[in-house]
Amino acid sequence: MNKHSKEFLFFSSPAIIVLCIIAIYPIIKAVSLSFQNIDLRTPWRGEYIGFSNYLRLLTDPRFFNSLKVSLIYSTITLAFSVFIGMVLAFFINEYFNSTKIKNVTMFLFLLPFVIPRVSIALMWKFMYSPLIGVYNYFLRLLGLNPIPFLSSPKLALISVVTVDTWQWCFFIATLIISSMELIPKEPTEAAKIDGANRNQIIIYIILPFLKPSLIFIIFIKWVESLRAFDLIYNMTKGGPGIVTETLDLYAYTEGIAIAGEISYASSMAIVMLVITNIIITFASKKWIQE
Amino acid sequence: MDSRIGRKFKKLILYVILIVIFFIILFPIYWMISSSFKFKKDLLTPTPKFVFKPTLSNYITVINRGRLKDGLVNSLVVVPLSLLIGIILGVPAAYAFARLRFKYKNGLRFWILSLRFLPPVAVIIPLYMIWLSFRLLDTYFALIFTYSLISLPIIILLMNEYIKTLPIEIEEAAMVDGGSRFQVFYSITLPNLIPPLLSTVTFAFMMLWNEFFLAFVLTVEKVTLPVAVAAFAAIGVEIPWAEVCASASLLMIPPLILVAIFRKALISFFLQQI
Repeated sequence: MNKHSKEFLFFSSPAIIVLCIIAIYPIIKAVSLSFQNIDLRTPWRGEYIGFSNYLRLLTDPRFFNSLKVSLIYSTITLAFSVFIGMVLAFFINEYFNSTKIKNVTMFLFLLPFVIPRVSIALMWKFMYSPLIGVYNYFLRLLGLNPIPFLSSPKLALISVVTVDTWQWCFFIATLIISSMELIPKEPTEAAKIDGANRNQIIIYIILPFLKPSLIFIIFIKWVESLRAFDLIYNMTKGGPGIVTETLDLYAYTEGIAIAGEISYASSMAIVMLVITNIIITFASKKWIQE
Repeated sequence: MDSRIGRKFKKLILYVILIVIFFIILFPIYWMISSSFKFKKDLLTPTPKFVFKPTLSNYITVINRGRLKDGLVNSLVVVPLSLLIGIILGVPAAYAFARLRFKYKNGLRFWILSLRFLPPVAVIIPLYMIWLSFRLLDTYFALIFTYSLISLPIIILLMNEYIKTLPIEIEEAAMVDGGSRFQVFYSITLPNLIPPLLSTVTFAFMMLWNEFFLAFVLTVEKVTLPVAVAAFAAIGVEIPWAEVCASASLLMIPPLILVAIFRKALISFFLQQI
């Protein structure tokens, strides 16, 4: 081994060893748990049962429900927050050029993102409340019937999605505005002189420049949307019924909170891991291509 | 004349839209903070009061609740200690990734990057079992160690990017003069890293301070502040909204102060990775 490699290991191995213990070992453990039948009430007893847990997943309607909720939740929050974020960014960039307004805007846009999700969940749950919530007060002022935002099976999911979108869309806008500032001025000006209109400039110059940032943002938000436990648990606990129960909520309920079937929950965790890995591989390939 | 009025009108409309956007951001935050200063009779009413006599009673109730105080203390123990682990182990690793050649370096770096996107549920279920079997569930040790999964990758990746931008010549000169690699790192590179390290740690602090899922699963008594706050909203049939608003407001004070100070640094962090 050459000097550089030795020095590399000297500097980096403590961190890498800790990360292996805390990240690799649990995943190996999860795989091994998922092939056993360990119950938290008797955690010392368990035997290997092959693929039984995975076969059980295939016949578990609640698992498919949670998979469906996870996919719907992540797709809608992703689409909403990126679309609204882009509209906001173009709006600010087009009409507000003074540094003062831009600084204030960027500061306010960061606020929802840095507030702890627990605070956000409780804040919105309070405002969504059917009796004392401020939104239903506004609706009553307009002469409309109160809406049970979180307790109606039809609306609960979209109500939670709204909160997630509120938290992310402004932050995404700040990222897009900041990357717009890095776009060189010359191509836009040259295009203007050649008679290009605003839409052409956006489509042929600005969007291609933003493409790498957009891919990065979509990727981050996608992965982030798959872990909405903090938001959903603190607003609806997966209810009413199971209409807002995502995969991580179901795995938690099944594995730790209520049923204690930690082996079965591990097989769900592995499914979650595989889904996330597919996204990462897909996105990083795309990333490298750009 | 007409077109001037038209332009003014357009400007007015644009500002109205901007103010509506600001309102959408600020109203929920304002509403919770203002509610936290309300007496119960002003808070628990179908017709919300926009003008009210403020009180600190909710905060006093909340702070005297043992569980919330415990949560605050535990957060103030767990978060700084896991940041410390992140710094002590992460900064040298970041230096190695930036300055030294190693056959598997790129693979390792991609692996560390991918850890930031690991779904927490995939590690928390086995970790629960692991800490349980070592009888370490619900201890500071387990939580601090688990949190290094968040702090270490952030510090390694961000500091690595920063070290790469430093000029390498001074380090090389010191090496030629007979300094060992560690001496060079410790006395030449490290002093230059204090300012970026400060903002990186701020960012990592916010991630850990806000973290809920891992702490929620791994603790029973040693709850962190977010878990203690969430527990407030889960007791009894009637949610004690006054106390919930006060405790949730307390929880968000540190990140709000930090974002005011480090706004620019935070945005550039994310842009760096693009």
